[in-house]
Amino acid sequence: MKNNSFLIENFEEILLQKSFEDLNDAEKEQLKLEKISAQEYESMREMLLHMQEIEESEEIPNDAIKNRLMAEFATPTKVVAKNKIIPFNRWFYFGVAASLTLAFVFFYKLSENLTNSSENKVAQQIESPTSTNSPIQQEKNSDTPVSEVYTSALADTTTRKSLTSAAESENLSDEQIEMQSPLAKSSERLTDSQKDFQPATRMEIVSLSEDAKYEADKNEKLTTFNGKKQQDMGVSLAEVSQLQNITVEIY
Amino acid sequence: MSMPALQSLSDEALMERIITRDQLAFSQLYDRYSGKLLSYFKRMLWNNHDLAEDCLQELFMKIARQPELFDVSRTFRPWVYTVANNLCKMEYRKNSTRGIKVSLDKTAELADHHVKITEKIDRKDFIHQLKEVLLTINEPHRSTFMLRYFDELTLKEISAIFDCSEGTVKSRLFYTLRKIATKLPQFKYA
Repeated sequence: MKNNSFLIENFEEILLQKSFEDLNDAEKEQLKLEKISAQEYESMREMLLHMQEIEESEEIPNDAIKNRLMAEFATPTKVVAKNKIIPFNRWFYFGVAASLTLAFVFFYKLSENLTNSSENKVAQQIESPTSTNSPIQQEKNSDTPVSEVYTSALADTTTRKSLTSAAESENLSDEQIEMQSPLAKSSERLTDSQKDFQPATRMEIVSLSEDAKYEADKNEKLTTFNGKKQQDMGVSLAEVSQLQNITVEIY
Repeated sequence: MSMPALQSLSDEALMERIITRDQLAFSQLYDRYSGKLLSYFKRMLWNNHDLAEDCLQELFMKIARQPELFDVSRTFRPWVYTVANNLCKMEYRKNSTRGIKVSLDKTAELADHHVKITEKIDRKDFIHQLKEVLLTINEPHRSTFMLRYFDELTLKEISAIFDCSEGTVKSRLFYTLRKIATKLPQFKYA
């Protein structure tokens, strides 16, 4: 808000004490700035002088109002009456709140432990040297759903078998067989980083040294592979064991 | 404490006693403020006496039920007028939602008409016409003007009620006075 002018800051004193003729040049200049004419100034002055003399007689309220108020004041308030029935003790409420919090934490931890134990069972079940190449891990490392990976794996296995038998007759190398498999074709669409996470599709990665490296990473990955992730992926325990069998079958 | 002794107590001291459920103190405070506040409500609420009485009762009912809402370290008069002003605002809201808002334009026309037909106005007429013209002034200028010139509150008290600076109060008063003077051009100080 802009600062008030000298006139506005002191308008009561000026209006009550000075007529337009009595104003000094600075005050008249202020009036000009506010676009107030001499006539308007006099009108405001007269109004204010009259306002000073107003002694409006006070209204007299109905006696019934006072009686009602005194009766209300004499009676204890509703809050007080309520407290007589249920004594207000804040420590009681604090105790209840603390108990509820503890109970919540206890049950939360309990359910978490139960989930972890079932997770461990699943982890033990899926723990195998070839588990890095399992469809679940593949899905974890790429955006392809498990069902698609599963289908691809089946198709790949079938193709590999037919290619291997064909290779025997046509003398194809392992690399040529690999390039003709459906998974290899699909891997062409993957980015380099995704390809790095597709060891099952690249035969050259499946070696003893890679297995050793996998063993080092395995424990870390298993800890992050929790029940929630399973739910997110929509994989049941039965599916996991089924997929495990498939991966074993592939290799 | 007797009633005469209570009369010498400040508003704030009375409120301290009211908080401890002193009936005589409550009665004294009511007697001290009921007339002023009823006049204020009536001026603010379209001269509706019944509505003004309802608001007055509501205000003192609040004090009777929860006197501890008042901070005894503060001044009582600005506080009670702040509560009164808030009650008026609630009434304005109620009326606007009910669609029975008083036509301010029509009131202004009536006021102008009254002024035109009256060459010379006596004091009673002046107050009456002034109140009608005030109905055409927007909030918070109107209540600021009324608190200053009808209820005779200080600039500091008004600034506390509206939670604004004294400069803002002065500015509001100045422009309201100018507007009223423009609307009552025929008025001559007698």
